Amino acid sequence: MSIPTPDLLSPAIRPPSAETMMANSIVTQPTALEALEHYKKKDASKVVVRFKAIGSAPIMKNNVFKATAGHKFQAVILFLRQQLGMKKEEALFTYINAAFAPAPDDTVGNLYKCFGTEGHLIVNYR
Amino acid sequence: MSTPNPVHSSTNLFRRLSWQTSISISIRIADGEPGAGIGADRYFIQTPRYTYLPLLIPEIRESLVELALDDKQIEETDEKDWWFEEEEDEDEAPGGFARQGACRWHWPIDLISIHSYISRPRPLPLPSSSSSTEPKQLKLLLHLSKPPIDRLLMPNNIETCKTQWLNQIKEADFVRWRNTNKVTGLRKTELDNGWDGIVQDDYDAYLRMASRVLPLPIAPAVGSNMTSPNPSRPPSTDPSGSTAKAESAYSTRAIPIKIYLPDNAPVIQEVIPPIGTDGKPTTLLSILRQHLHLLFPSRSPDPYSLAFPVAQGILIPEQSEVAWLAACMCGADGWLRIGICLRAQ
Repeated sequence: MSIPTPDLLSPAIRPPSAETMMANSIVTQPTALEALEHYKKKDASKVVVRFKAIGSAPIMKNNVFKATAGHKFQAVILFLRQQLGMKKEEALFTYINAAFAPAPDDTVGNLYKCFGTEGHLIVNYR
Repeated sequence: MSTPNPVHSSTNLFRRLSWQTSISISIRIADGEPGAGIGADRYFIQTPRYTYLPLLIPEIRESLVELALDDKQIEETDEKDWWFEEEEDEDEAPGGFARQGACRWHWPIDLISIHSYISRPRPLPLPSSSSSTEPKQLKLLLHLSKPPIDRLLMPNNIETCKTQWLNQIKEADFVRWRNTNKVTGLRKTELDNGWDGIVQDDYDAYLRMASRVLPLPIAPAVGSNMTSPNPSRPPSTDPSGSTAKAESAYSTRAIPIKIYLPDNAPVIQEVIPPIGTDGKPTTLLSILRQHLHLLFPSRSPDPYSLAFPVAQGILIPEQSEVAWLAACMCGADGWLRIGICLRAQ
């Protein structure tokens, strides 16, 4: 994950739509394999993640970070553990919007698309 | 005498059919592991789509591992180090995509099977043909050591499996309503019914929980523009006996749906409303054209010319309403999972 965001939060930049890209590069209809290659590309855009402590969990001095949309949520969990200085055997529970724990292989981008609020993804932890 | 509500009956029919559909799996102890290569190193199992690998471990232990390994090897092996991987199918011609590798513990068998099915282009399954969408067995290798933790992401015990299932139920609930009130409002016995139903292959127990959480493909409440040929009846005439107020699948904010592509492409999960901006129910084809335009081009006379969608082991017709699919054919965790298979010409 990169350095913390500036005070003015910017919304995650979305990559150009498939239609625009294809229109610009190919005149004839692409084959299914080419289409699949396009869809395999990992989303490199950034999502703003805001960490919020639950209960007696330690509060972070800076709790806003940018995560890569194409990364799995597992990367966010590992980053948070590192930020909190947690030991391997210590348990950490994370939730989206204080409602559910996402599967660790859900992508950050998908979680933001579906559950983001006001330009960021809220990740609660305890 | 009240007649059964046709929408409730057909919903229940499809839910039960989805519940009952099963996968044939063959499991072989991986080369290099104790017990591999001897006569008794393979086991065949028929499992429901909604179950999970951790729930199969006890049977696999008893019927495969304890027969293939000697006493000393059995003593030395620890289930928490076991893991599964899809085996390369030597009978199939080359030309497939990257395999899924180590099978994740929190994936229902349905999802593992989807990834296996879409791992190579296939001809469009025809309803008239004798072979079903999935004629082949799912072939797995069982490893007894060195689990790839970064791929598996969690231990294989049953408590973790249940927690993951419950979180998926909540996530699906949140997608539908922007809160998890229906799930958190369940009594503990109702929640346990859901999980016990999965563990014991008891559809009725599962439905006692699911009917409180899943909406029905009925018309939304009075006041909306939606008209339906099947006007909803009061819950008291519901043949399933549920006294909970039935919510309409067409009133949800969004549909819990995930779409999977071959070759380790990222999973597609978008906000998909049950009713489009034109006021009509969202069809599967419309979302495939919107989110996978290159594989489902708008101008093509044959919607499935490049690829086709499968769910619960069958080809899904393009005009299917996603709200209906999600209400009637979702997995036991509330999610509708669609695999996109490239079409072999």
